[in-house]
Amino acid sequence: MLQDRLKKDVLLFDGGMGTQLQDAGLKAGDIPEELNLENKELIISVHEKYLRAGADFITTNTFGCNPLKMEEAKYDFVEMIQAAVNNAKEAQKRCNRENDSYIALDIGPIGQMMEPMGTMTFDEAYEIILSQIEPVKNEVDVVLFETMSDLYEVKAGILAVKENTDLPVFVTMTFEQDGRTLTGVNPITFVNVVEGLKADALGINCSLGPVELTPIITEILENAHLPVIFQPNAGLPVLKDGITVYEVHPKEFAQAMKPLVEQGIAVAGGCCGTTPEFIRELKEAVPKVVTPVENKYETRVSSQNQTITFDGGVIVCGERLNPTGKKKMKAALKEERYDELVVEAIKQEQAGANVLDVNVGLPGIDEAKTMKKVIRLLQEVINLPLQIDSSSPEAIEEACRYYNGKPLINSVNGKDSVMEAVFPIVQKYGGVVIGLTLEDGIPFLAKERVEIAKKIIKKAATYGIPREDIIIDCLTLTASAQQKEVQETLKAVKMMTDMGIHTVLGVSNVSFGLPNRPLLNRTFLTMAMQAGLDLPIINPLDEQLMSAIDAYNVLFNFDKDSTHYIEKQANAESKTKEKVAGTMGLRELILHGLKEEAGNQTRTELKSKEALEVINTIIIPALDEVGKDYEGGKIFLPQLIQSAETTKVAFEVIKETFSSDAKSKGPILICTVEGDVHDIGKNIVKVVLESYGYEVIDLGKDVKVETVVEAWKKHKPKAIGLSALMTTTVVNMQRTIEALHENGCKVPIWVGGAVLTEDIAKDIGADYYTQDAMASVNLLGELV
Amino acid sequence: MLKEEALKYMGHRGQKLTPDMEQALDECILEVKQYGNFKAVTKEFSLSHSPLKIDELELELDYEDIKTYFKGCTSCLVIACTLGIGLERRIKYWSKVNMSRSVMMDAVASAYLEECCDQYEATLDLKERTYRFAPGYGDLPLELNIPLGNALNISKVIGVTRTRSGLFLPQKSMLGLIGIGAENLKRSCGNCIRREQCELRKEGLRCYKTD
Repeated sequence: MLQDRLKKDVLLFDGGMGTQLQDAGLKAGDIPEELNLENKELIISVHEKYLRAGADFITTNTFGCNPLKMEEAKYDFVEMIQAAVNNAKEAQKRCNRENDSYIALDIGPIGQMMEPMGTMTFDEAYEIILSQIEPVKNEVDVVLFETMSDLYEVKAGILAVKENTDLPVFVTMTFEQDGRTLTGVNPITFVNVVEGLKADALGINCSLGPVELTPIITEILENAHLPVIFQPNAGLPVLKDGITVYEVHPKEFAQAMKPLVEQGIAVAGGCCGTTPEFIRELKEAVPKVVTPVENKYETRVSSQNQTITFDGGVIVCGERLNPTGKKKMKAALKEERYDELVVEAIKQEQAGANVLDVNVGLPGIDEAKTMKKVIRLLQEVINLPLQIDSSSPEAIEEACRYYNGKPLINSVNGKDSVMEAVFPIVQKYGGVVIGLTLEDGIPFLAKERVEIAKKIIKKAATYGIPREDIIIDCLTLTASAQQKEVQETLKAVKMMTDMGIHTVLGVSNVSFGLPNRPLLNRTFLTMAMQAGLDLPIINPLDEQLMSAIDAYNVLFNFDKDSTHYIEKQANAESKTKEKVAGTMGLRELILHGLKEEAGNQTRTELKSKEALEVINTIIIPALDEVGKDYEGGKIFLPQLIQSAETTKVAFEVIKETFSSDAKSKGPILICTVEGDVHDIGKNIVKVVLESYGYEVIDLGKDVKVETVVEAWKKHKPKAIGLSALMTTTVVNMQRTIEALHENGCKVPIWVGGAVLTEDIAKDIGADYYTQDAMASVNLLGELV
Repeated sequence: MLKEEALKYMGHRGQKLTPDMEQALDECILEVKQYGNFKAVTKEFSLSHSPLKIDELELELDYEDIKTYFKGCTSCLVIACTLGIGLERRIKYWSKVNMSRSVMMDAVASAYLEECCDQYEATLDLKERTYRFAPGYGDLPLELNIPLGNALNISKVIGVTRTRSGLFLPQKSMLGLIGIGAENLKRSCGNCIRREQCELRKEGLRCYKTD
């Protein structure tokens, strides 16, 4: 069995296929996979050479063989995959190695960028990869994802294999010299996420030679618990006469690989530029048996590009993405204005949070569906790992499936039924799960809570979830109601810490019902940190609470040389000075685009004036002046936007205070059309329209035709604005307009974007064309 | 230079910059350089004429503008480059909290990509050459990005992908062709194929030092 041999015998992969085919006459731009059918003998002979050189694995010639990349190929991709596997089998037969060599089904990146930055969805990636595996799943020994750079695509791949076959999965990603993949993944994050997803081996391939990649593969070796694969290139690629060549010789390559295999590499091979000779030398040079590596298992959570290790320091979990007790967030969730959640997340990240709790539980909304959407939007701009917070196993599962990284999961408790619903999800997708020390109620005594914690840890182990992937919540009680038990919580934290288990607490519960809550919160947090608390769930915008953590980190020697403390406290002093300086009126603030001060100044104006008066005598005239200055060339685009954003802040304050007075105009529906991801122009229009008091429903970028039609039916907008930047997507703009008209939409549709003109707008059936954001304001002024 | 170019993209026409704006712009330049991760790949191909063709790819370039540019050239260099996805995430980040900043970052990034690509070209030590010419410019169709991108293996080598509608992602990516062996047209505004339609030129602005 391959699985049994993996951690025992050093196994060898083959070397480059592409370079071998190029030597045999393959040209740039030719499709190598076509040779599986057109020149079987060539492919078989390459495999044969590798097998005879001592390779244990041969990699099928299917790197780009997916339905998208093979659109231009002469043959169907499935036919080429099947032929590739047959060629590999034939080579095994000719070498008489059917029983002691393995066929790896090779899958490279799909070649499309995934959501949220790109357009390919997780489900699409999953389906594409599955279509590559299905036809040959009973004929290969392992699926190899290689040269990967996007961890999200890796996740889709691992799930596609694990959910549909019993095959082992190997994953190798490609790192640049700066220690990251092209999409920004670092080695620790790669290891943490892929191990959580239960791949069978992981490592590095391509990009550079063994010497250059040594620091990166060493980092992986020092952190991985799975067998590690290493398939570097034959040195750095060098450009000679316009052709890429590799200059490391087989012997040098093998000598560079040897010490790394001695450090624990379990599977070795080559990538670009390596030949059967390299594998022969490798076989001679490296030991036969895997050097065992015992890395400590750490508690680690990851986003797509960042990993947080629980190493004794305090890790701040931001609590603000939770609708409980927050009117504004409830409304935002109900009305699907998710941007407000994203802004809240950014504020917490800026304030120094390390992890963000995400809770979207609200009666009347589909929690699982909302969770999926919100997580995608957050991960577009937030680098922090997320804590999925829900009492619904369906929502947790949906979130874990579509989350990019290894999340915190909030939570299970001591009830068997809850653990039995959540642990399988943690086991499948990987995650660090919070265990609440309660069953039917919260026990009073610390030792009773510790007993529940032990029960949770024990039960988790039966699912293969290690204790390091559990964080215990000893539960903060309210001092005003259960004063005696506050101590018990702290005691329990200390007991868990002594057992080597990490702990979490929702801090602000302690002060409920008492005056000057921040003081109690701060004091309790300090005591809890001293008891060993790792993960306080708090409001990171509370500067004093955050400062208490900074002070703790200095006093407990976590913040070396007080670097972070000095930097932050020094900054805090200078900020206070800046704030004092702003003494402008609202009109000047709008003209100068100083939005930071606009909220306070609007509140000041509202003390002596009615809301409508503020709007009609200050905001509108100031905005008109800005508009004229822009059209007259006195100010330019960033200044127009700054003023618009300042006005938006003023409107928000007015709405909070006098919701009935400041009725917004609209709604107006806008989006960037299907296939187009350029949304900067559309975003500018949105901000400027909002500054003029319009309610704008922004459907985002790359919005499917049907979605626009549905949104029109749902929101009944007064006008619809469509944006497209490229000639290739104007077609989709036309399709969107046609679909709206076919469904009976009579609302004015206006279009904009770099390639559009009045004439094109007319041709594609739009009612109006505007050149820029100000023109859109002027147009809507006439229409609405 | 980077600042001037970026300002031009933002529609700046000599308005006085406030100190705040100057500072924001300087911060954007620093941030674009910090988040931008310039990567480039290039390959040289031989050309044959009438019809104009890249031999190795058997790719015809039967378009008037490029025929003028490549007259007498014996080969052509295809260059693709990008600033990477990290910068794009950062621009997106700003669009959520400060749209004005996002617009500035976007413009600075565009200018920075041009600058990096120029510097990269300079390291190639090209002798007699035309200037860079990109699909989508003049009558050279955008669709040429597909075979040229494939020939350079841009998704694997520099992480540039194409959406199904043919757009590059990361957005701050570029693919261009340079003719080698002849220098038919100097890099100047007057030689630009867009000189008749260019809004900037109508306003009296120039992209290049020479007219």
